[in-house]
Amino acid sequence: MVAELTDEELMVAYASGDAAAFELLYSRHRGPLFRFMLHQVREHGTAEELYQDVWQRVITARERYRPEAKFSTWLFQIAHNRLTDHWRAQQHRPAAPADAVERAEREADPQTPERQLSAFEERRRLQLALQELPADQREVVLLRLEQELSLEQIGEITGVGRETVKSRLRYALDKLRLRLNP
Amino acid sequence: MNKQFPTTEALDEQERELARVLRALPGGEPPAALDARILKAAGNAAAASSRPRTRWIASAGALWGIGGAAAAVLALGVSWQLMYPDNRSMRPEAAPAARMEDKAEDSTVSVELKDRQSSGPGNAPTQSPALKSAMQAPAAQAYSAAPVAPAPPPPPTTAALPEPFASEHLDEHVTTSADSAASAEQVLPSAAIAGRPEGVSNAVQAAPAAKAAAAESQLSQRAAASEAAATGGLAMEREPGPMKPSNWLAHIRQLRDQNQSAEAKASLVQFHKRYPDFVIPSDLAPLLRE
Repeated sequence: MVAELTDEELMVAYASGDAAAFELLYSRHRGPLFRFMLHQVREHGTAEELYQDVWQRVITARERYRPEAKFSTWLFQIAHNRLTDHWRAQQHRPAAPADAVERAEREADPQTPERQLSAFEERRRLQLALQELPADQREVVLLRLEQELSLEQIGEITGVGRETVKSRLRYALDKLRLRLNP
Repeated sequence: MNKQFPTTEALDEQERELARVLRALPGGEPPAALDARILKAAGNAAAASSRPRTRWIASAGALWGIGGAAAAVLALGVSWQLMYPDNRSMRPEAAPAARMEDKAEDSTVSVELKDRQSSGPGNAPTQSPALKSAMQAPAAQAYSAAPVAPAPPPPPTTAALPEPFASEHLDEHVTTSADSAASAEQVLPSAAIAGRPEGVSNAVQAAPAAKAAAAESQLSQRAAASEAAATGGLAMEREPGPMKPSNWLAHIRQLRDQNQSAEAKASLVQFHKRYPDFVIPSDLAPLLRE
């Protein structure tokens, strides 16, 4: 019965004191949110901290939640804000290592000396390409590819217009494709 | 409910290809301990959200008590006013903040009040000691300690209102309305020269030295007390709050990276004590176990 409820209904139920509703809601979003955080900050420990903060903010703001907004949009908005705070605190995002490409090539799969694009290398190249993206482009591309959110939703989350999202996404996708198919 | 929201937008072919690789990246999942902490926090919050209502209901009795007390004090105040209809010289509008603004006006007020007192007992001030001390404290603090800081609101004075008053009380009130310890010293013994509106300097000459000294001592004690209270409060405000968990952890990482393991560990132990519910990040957890 509870399992059939939408995210928004679950959140409203939780705001009314139903802890079980939160558990279900949490189980639905824990994976996507954690991966989103991890791909943004790269460090597992930091990702855990930010992830915990985001949920803490959800808990704290439970009574202010209004079901007019889609829950996942609201959740990723909170995550976006937390990441913004994080980058501000860090002053700048640490750049990818200067020799990232060389290192990746050195660590190429020994089973494929001819550098055939194995699944492993493909993933690693994508990871490196993601790290090299500017934070705003990376955020947009992660929300699009992982969460399959629409441009409008991404705009809501990141606080920019649809065209800006579209432009960031196009740049980001081009860079990723270029890296995967050099 | 979800139907009213735009559904997720399907990926095109190129996006799908990238998404396939992206999903294969080792993203992992949050640790079980972290899940447990978050769910526990959520459960606690849900349980707490129903408590305020209970508390409010429980405190309804107390509210009735407070309301009854306030009504009784009001009745006492009204009856007291009826008994002494001429006691209107209390000037609540002469708030400390207002007095701070115009020192010259304060002197005028003090002389005026002295005159009133000398003209007869019916013009005696209506201010109780408690009310005066309430007004004195912020004034003394404002003039002597922190002129920029806003004066705190006076504490409740209702309980002290019906108390009898005496001429010395007027002196104290007038004294504290002056802008400095020096002027206070000048005005304090004014009861002795209340009938001489020539000026405050004359009052100093005519005042008994012992009374002035005693009054000064009393004033300085009060001023010191209020200053201590004020500075105590300020100190509490100024005291830097606890470091944000993320900053603290970043600091611990810095220590660790600088091979200051002992400091890092000590700091992490402190962190864990301060935030027992916070999941220690996996990269720092071994440090705690060392």
